[in-house]
Amino acid sequence: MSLIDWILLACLAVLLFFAARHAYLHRNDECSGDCSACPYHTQCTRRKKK
Amino acid sequence: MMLIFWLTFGVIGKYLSDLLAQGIDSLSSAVNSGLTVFGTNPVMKSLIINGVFAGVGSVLQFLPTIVVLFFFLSILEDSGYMARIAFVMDKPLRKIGLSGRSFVPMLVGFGCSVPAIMSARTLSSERDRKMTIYLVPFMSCSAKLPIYAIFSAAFFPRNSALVMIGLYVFGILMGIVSALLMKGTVFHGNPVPFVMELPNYRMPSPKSVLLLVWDKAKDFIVRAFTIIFTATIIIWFLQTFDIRFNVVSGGKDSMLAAIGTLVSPIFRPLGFNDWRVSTALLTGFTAKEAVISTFAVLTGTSTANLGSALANIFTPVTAFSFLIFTLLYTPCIAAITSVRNELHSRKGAFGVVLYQCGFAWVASFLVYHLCLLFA
Repeated sequence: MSLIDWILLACLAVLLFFAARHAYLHRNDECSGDCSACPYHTQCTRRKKK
Repeated sequence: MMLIFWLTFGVIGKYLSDLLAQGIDSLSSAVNSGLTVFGTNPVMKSLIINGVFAGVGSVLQFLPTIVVLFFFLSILEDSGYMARIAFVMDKPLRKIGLSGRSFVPMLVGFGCSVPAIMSARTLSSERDRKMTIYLVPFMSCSAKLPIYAIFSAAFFPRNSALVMIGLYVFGILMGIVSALLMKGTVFHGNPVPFVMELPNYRMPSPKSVLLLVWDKAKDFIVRAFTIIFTATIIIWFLQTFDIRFNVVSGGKDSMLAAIGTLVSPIFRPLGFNDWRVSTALLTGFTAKEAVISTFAVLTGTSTANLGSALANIFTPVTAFSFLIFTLLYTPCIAAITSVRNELHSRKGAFGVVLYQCGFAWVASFLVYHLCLLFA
């Protein structure tokens, strides 16, 4: 593998890390958003309410 | 509703999705050329082009369809029309053992099963709540849209919009059948009376419509670049390497083929003889959009050619059987987690999965063999 291959692999690894991190940080989010239509937005555990 | 579906799947959404698919393919070709010029390792090039671009791109192309559908649904909701439908639906829903209050969770289920299952909390009766939760997965969620769109365009090109509408209607009918079965067995008794204040009819607010559409679009894009991206890379890895981590060509000797082959006997009576079909259905457990991204990775095709690649795996009859199975089988893991949380029972969640999968298997089996009989 050449330098460009390692750079691409590192970029993908970083993106994968952030994707996994997002999934972990939002693991307790029990919905897919749409707070305006949700009757439970006042009790919501989502970190960032929409 | 039929007009909305026709505009979404047959006209506006389809046109914009095709445009986006061409754009993604052009970008993929440009990146492929660039990687070739830089002398990139073939395995790395395969990961980027056949893995990431094929997988994520095959799901992203349906963003316009999702946006158009929720644009129209939010107009209906904001105008006060939906509240009146819930009131009108109370009488027919009582015949299958539910009240009009269950209509809103069912309707939300057409977007996503997770908030639909959560909104069943508004039902004061535990009986009504449990029954609604069991029936919400029959309302085909928007994550299955990419599957319907690809298959109906590939195998039923002249009637693709009709096939998609038919699938939604069939899902509702199966929900009714399930409700009647449950009413007579597990959920005895009558639903509680339905009293509600009707909001006035009003002009939909452009701001609230656009905010809802943006909300849905953002969630879809985030899912594509997190869950689908991760699933795509895992699937690419499993189908590129064998159990000794040697690179394989064709995928038949890969780890993924071994897993798919193990599970595929269950699906043979439904007409799914190829191991890639059972593998794609397994990945649908994580997110339904992953079914399409899995097919894209496993067939090694671009987004625009996925339909013709699927023609090597399916016939129109088996494609229809596959659509029925996808419509009815287990919801994604996020929905199952919601069921577990709302029912406060792992057995309940497991029961939902078993029931959905069993129901889907039987329906798909019947549809497949009936179609063979008449085809």
